[in-house]
Amino acid sequence: MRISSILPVIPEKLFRVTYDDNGENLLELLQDQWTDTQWLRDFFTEFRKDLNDVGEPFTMTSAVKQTISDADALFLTLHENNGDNLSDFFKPLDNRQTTVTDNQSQKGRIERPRTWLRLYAVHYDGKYIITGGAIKLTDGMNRPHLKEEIYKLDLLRKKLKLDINQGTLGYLDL
Amino acid sequence: MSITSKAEFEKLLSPPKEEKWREGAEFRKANADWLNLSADIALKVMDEMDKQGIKGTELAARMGVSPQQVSKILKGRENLKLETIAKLNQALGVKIFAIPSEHEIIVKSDMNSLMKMLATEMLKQHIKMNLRQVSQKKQEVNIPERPAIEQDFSFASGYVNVASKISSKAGESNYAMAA
Repeated sequence: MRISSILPVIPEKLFRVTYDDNGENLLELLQDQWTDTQWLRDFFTEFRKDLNDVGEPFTMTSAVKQTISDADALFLTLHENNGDNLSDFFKPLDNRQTTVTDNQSQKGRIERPRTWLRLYAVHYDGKYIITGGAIKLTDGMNRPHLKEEIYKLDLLRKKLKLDINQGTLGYLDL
Repeated sequence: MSITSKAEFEKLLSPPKEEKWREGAEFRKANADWLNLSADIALKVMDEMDKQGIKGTELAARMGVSPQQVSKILKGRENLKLETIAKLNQALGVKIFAIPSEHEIIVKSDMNSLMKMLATEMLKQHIKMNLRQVSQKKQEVNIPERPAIEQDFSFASGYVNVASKISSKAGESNYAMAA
């Protein structure tokens, strides 16, 4: 996997990464998956045990319906806030980190109890570059689809670090 | 790994592309009611398909539509025609979506809610009955009111425990049932 470009979502505030020159908009892909009943049903079937361990009883139907509702709220929040209050939306990925730093991995979520939808981004100078998103049912990041998100975050952090060191990052107006 | 040439930079600095997810967010907000119904229908169809052990291609054949159309229905984002809903009902042999007639009532099939409702009703009846008895006793003999009522209410925890032990994972959908 290779980062092919970083594109503005909300100019000067929010960006997204594209991979391997496929031109895919990861936010469109996530919105599509998180509002697709069949995709969600397949996902919760695969991770049925994790769903059962969430802490309260969820049927397949209630899990799918909650995800769709949360996804709608998440994308509407991003759209309507238009880049404002992003520092409330994104927090450090590591719960032990209390301060926000540059080139830090972050997670974004809506303010709803028990929501399991996450966007992942790297923070730099008050701006956020989204690398992906996932349904997170477990406390840690040990599931394959969550490990992939960690890999994508690290990929961007390494890239930004190199760019900063070479003094070229300013050109990106990040 | 790093960006080293101006050409690469310019590629990165390409103008903002159309962000269709924003349009999608607005569309879903404006059409939330029917999208919600469409998702409910899709989930019920998939549950029924699982019960009957059939795939999308089989359902498509039964409905006389293309597998692509069934695939769209299962995503839960289609604004379904009444004709399509009728075909789904017929193909699966169950009422996936129906409007109850005047002789039908809606019964919630969530066992937990049902048991709690029954327990509450029984509790109400029991309280009424006991209050009547207490009132009668009060007229016959002069006994302190408060301890008698507290004693009579002690049975209540039993009903609540019975209700709460019922699994809450039962099916939770509403459906029409003949009265």
